[in-house]
Amino acid sequence: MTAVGTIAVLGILMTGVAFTAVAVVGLFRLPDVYTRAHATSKSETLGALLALTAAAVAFGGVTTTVKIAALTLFLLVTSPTAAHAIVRSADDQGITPWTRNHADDASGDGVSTGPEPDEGSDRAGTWGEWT
Amino acid sequence: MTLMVDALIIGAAVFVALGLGILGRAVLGPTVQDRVVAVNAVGTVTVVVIVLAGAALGEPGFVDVALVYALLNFLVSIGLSKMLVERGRVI
Repeated sequence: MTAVGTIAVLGILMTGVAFTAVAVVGLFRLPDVYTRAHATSKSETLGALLALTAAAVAFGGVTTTVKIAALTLFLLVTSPTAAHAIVRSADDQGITPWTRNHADDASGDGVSTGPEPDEGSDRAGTWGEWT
Repeated sequence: MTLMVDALIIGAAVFVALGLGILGRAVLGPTVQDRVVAVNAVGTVTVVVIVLAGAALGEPGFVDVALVYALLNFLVSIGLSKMLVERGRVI
Protein backbone atom coordinates (compact mmCIF):
# COMPACT_ATOMS: atom_id res chain seq x y z
CA MET A 1 0.00 0.00 0.00
CA THR A 2 1.30 3.35 -0.94
CA ALA A 3 1.79 6.28 1.40
CA VAL A 4 -1.30 7.97 0.01
CA GLY A 5 -3.41 4.95 0.92
CA THR A 6 -1.97 4.86 4.42
CA ILE A 7 -2.69 8.54 4.94
CA ALA A 8 -6.24 8.08 3.60
CA VAL A 9 -6.86 5.13 5.93
CA LEU A 10 -5.52 7.08 8.90
CA GLY A 11 -7.61 10.17 8.17
CA ILE A 12 -10.88 8.36 7.49
CA LEU A 13 -10.43 6.08 10.50
CA MET A 14 -9.69 8.97 12.84
CA THR A 15 -12.75 10.83 11.59
CA GLY A 16 -14.90 7.76 12.21
CA VAL A 17 -13.51 7.38 15.72
CA ALA A 18 -14.25 11.05 16.39
CA PHE A 19 -17.89 10.73 15.27
CA THR A 20 -18.37 7.59 17.37
CA ALA A 21 -16.85 9.37 20.37
CA VAL A 22 -19.39 12.16 19.85
CA ALA A 23 -22.13 9.51 19.88
CA VAL A 24 -20.84 8.08 23.17
CA VAL A 25 -20.76 11.55 24.74
CA GLY A 26 -24.30 12.19 23.52
CA LEU A 27 -25.44 8.85 24.89
CA PHE A 28 -24.31 9.87 28.35
CA ARG A 29 -25.12 13.57 28.38
CA LEU A 30 -28.52 13.76 26.69
CA PRO A 31 -31.60 13.73 28.92
CA ASP A 32 -34.05 11.10 27.65
CA VAL A 33 -34.40 8.09 25.38
CA TYR A 34 -35.46 10.10 22.33
CA THR A 35 -32.41 12.33 22.29
CA ARG A 36 -30.13 9.39 23.03
CA ALA A 37 -31.54 7.49 20.08
CA HIS A 38 -30.98 10.63 18.01
CA ALA A 39 -27.29 10.62 19.04
CA THR A 40 -26.72 6.98 18.22
CA SER A 41 -28.78 6.85 15.05
CA LYS A 42 -26.97 9.67 13.31
CA SER A 43 -23.51 10.25 14.74
CA GLU A 44 -22.75 6.62 15.40
CA THR A 45 -23.97 5.54 11.97
CA LEU A 46 -21.71 8.08 10.31
CA GLY A 47 -18.75 6.96 12.42
CA ALA A 48 -19.34 3.33 11.52
CA LEU A 49 -19.66 4.18 7.81
CA LEU A 50 -16.36 6.09 7.85
CA ALA A 51 -14.54 3.28 9.68
CA LEU A 52 -15.89 0.72 7.19
CA THR A 53 -14.72 2.94 4.33
CA ALA A 54 -11.25 3.01 5.88
CA ALA A 55 -11.27 -0.78 6.08
CA ALA A 56 -12.33 -0.98 2.42
CA VAL A 57 -9.42 1.25 1.41
CA ALA A 58 -7.09 -0.94 3.47
CA PHE A 59 -8.34 -4.16 1.86
CA GLY A 60 -8.11 -2.89 -1.68
CA GLY A 61 -9.55 -5.89 -3.50
CA VAL A 62 -12.60 -5.60 -5.71
CA THR A 63 -14.65 -8.39 -4.09
CA THR A 64 -14.03 -7.22 -0.56
CA THR A 65 -14.76 -3.62 -1.53
CA VAL A 66 -18.11 -4.65 -2.98
CA LYS A 67 -18.92 -6.63 0.17
CA ILE A 68 -18.03 -3.71 2.41
CA ALA A 69 -20.08 -1.40 0.20
CA ALA A 70 -23.07 -3.70 0.67
CA LEU A 71 -22.45 -3.74 4.41
CA THR A 72 -22.21 0.05 4.44
CA LEU A 73 -25.48 0.43 2.55
CA PHE A 74 -27.17 -2.05 4.88
CA LEU A 75 -25.99 -0.20 7.98
CA LEU A 76 -27.01 3.13 6.46
CA VAL A 77 -30.56 1.83 5.99
CA THR A 78 -31.05 -0.32 9.07
CA SER A 79 -29.43 1.62 11.88
CA PRO A 80 -31.79 4.64 11.74
CA THR A 81 -34.70 2.27 11.09
CA ALA A 82 -33.94 0.28 14.24
CA ALA A 83 -33.60 3.48 16.27
CA HIS A 84 -36.93 4.68 14.86
CA ALA A 85 -38.63 1.41 15.84
CA ILE A 86 -37.26 1.56 19.38
CA VAL A 87 -38.29 5.19 19.78
CA ARG A 88 -41.71 4.42 18.45
CA SER A 89 -42.14 1.61 20.96
CA ALA A 90 -41.11 4.09 23.67
CA ASP A 91 -43.77 6.49 22.43
CA ASP A 92 -46.37 3.72 22.40
CA GLN A 93 -45.49 2.93 26.00
CA GLY A 94 -46.22 6.52 26.89
CA ILE A 95 -42.75 7.73 27.86
CA THR A 96 -43.01 11.50 27.68
CA PRO A 97 -40.22 13.42 25.98
CA TRP A 98 -38.01 15.66 28.08
CA THR A 99 -38.76 19.36 27.86
CA ARG A 100 -37.04 22.24 29.59
CA ASN A 101 -40.19 23.36 31.40
CA HIS A 102 -41.25 19.93 32.52
CA ALA A 103 -38.00 18.52 33.83
CA ASP A 104 -39.86 17.30 36.88
CA ASP A 105 -37.68 14.46 37.98
CA ALA A 106 -35.52 15.10 41.00
CA SER A 107 -32.83 12.65 40.00
CA GLY A 108 -31.41 14.96 37.37
CA ASP A 109 -31.30 12.14 34.89
CA GLY A 110 -34.02 13.82 32.89
CA VAL A 111 -36.09 10.74 32.24
CA SER A 112 -39.68 11.20 33.32
CA THR A 113 -41.49 7.93 32.95
CA GLY A 114 -44.88 8.99 34.15
CA PRO A 115 -47.33 7.51 31.71
CA GLU A 116 -50.96 8.05 32.46
CA PRO A 117 -52.56 5.19 30.53
CA ASP A 118 -55.25 7.26 28.86
CA GLU A 119 -52.68 9.80 27.71
CA GLY A 120 -50.57 7.04 26.21
CA SER A 121 -53.48 5.59 24.30
CA ASP A 122 -54.45 9.08 23.16
CA ARG A 123 -51.00 9.67 21.73
CA ALA A 124 -51.00 6.27 20.09
CA GLY A 125 -54.32 7.13 18.50
CA THR A 126 -52.95 10.29 16.97
CA TRP A 127 -49.97 8.40 15.62
CA GLY A 128 -52.25 5.76 14.21
CA GLU A 129 -53.72 8.24 11.78
CA TRP A 130 -50.38 8.74 10.16
CA THR A 131 -49.72 5.14 9.32
CA MET B 1 3.98 -4.50 10.98
CA THR B 2 3.49 -1.63 8.69
CA LEU B 3 2.04 1.65 9.79
CA MET B 4 -1.36 0.87 8.33
CA VAL B 5 -1.70 -2.43 10.19
CA ASP B 6 -0.82 -0.62 13.40
CA ALA B 7 -3.39 2.07 12.64
CA LEU B 8 -6.11 -0.52 11.97
CA ILE B 9 -5.36 -2.45 15.16
CA ILE B 10 -5.28 0.73 17.26
CA GLY B 11 -8.50 1.89 15.63
CA ALA B 12 -10.15 -1.44 16.45
CA ALA B 13 -8.95 -1.12 20.05
CA VAL B 14 -10.37 2.40 20.31
CA PHE B 15 -13.68 1.16 18.93
CA VAL B 16 -13.71 -1.60 21.55
CA ALA B 17 -13.18 1.03 24.26
CA LEU B 18 -16.01 3.15 22.83
CA GLY B 19 -18.26 0.08 22.78
CA LEU B 20 -17.53 -0.53 26.46
CA GLY B 21 -18.47 3.08 27.10
CA ILE B 22 -21.77 2.60 25.26
CA LEU B 23 -22.37 -0.52 27.34
CA GLY B 24 -22.41 1.73 30.41
CA ARG B 25 -25.64 3.26 29.13
CA ALA B 26 -27.06 -0.23 28.72
CA VAL B 27 -26.22 -0.91 32.36
CA LEU B 28 -27.64 2.28 33.88
CA GLY B 29 -30.30 3.27 31.38
CA PRO B 30 -33.54 3.95 33.22
CA THR B 31 -35.97 2.68 30.59
CA VAL B 32 -35.83 -0.54 28.62
CA GLN B 33 -35.64 1.44 25.39
CA ASP B 34 -32.43 3.06 26.59
CA ARG B 35 -30.90 -0.35 27.00
CA VAL B 36 -32.08 -1.49 23.58
CA VAL B 37 -30.67 1.62 21.93
CA ALA B 38 -27.35 1.04 23.69
CA VAL B 39 -27.23 -2.64 22.72
CA ASN B 40 -27.97 -1.68 19.11
CA ALA B 41 -25.09 0.80 19.16
CA VAL B 42 -22.78 -1.83 20.67
CA GLY B 43 -23.72 -4.16 17.84
CA THR B 44 -22.85 -1.55 15.24
CA VAL B 45 -19.50 -0.96 16.94
CA THR B 46 -18.91 -4.73 16.95
CA VAL B 47 -19.48 -4.88 13.19
CA VAL B 48 -16.88 -2.15 12.74
CA VAL B 49 -14.42 -3.95 15.02
CA ILE B 50 -14.82 -7.22 13.09
CA VAL B 51 -14.17 -5.51 9.74
CA LEU B 52 -11.20 -3.56 11.09
CA ALA B 53 -9.69 -6.74 12.56
CA GLY B 54 -10.17 -8.47 9.22
CA ALA B 55 -8.43 -5.61 7.43
CA ALA B 56 -5.55 -5.66 9.93
CA LEU B 57 -5.07 -9.41 9.73
CA GLY B 58 -5.59 -9.59 5.97
CA GLU B 59 -8.59 -11.91 6.25
CA PRO B 60 -11.38 -10.99 3.81
CA GLY B 61 -13.63 -13.67 5.30
CA PHE B 62 -14.26 -11.48 8.32
CA VAL B 63 -16.45 -9.22 6.19
CA ASP B 64 -18.98 -12.02 5.69
CA VAL B 65 -19.13 -12.52 9.45
CA ALA B 66 -19.71 -8.79 9.86
CA LEU B 67 -22.55 -8.87 7.31
CA VAL B 68 -24.34 -11.64 9.21
CA TYR B 69 -23.72 -9.83 12.48
CA ALA B 70 -25.26 -6.63 11.14
CA LEU B 71 -28.32 -8.57 9.97
CA LEU B 72 -28.77 -10.22 13.38
CA ASN B 73 -28.29 -6.87 15.11
CA PHE B 74 -31.10 -5.33 13.09
CA LEU B 75 -33.34 -8.31 13.78
CA VAL B 76 -32.70 -8.07 17.53
CA SER B 77 -33.62 -4.39 17.59
CA ILE B 78 -36.81 -4.84 15.57
CA GLY B 79 -37.86 -7.89 17.54
CA LEU B 80 -37.29 -6.24 20.91
CA SER B 81 -39.11 -3.09 19.91
CA LYS B 82 -42.05 -5.16 18.69
CA MET B 83 -42.09 -7.15 21.91
CA LEU B 84 -41.94 -4.15 24.24
CA VAL B 85 -45.37 -2.81 23.30
CA GLU B 86 -48.63 -4.67 23.41
CA ARG B 87 -49.87 -3.94 19.94
CA GLY B 88 -46.55 -4.52 18.24
CA ARG B 89 -47.00 -2.00 15.46
CA VAL B 90 -43.64 -0.29 15.31
CA ILE B 91 -42.72 0.04 11.66
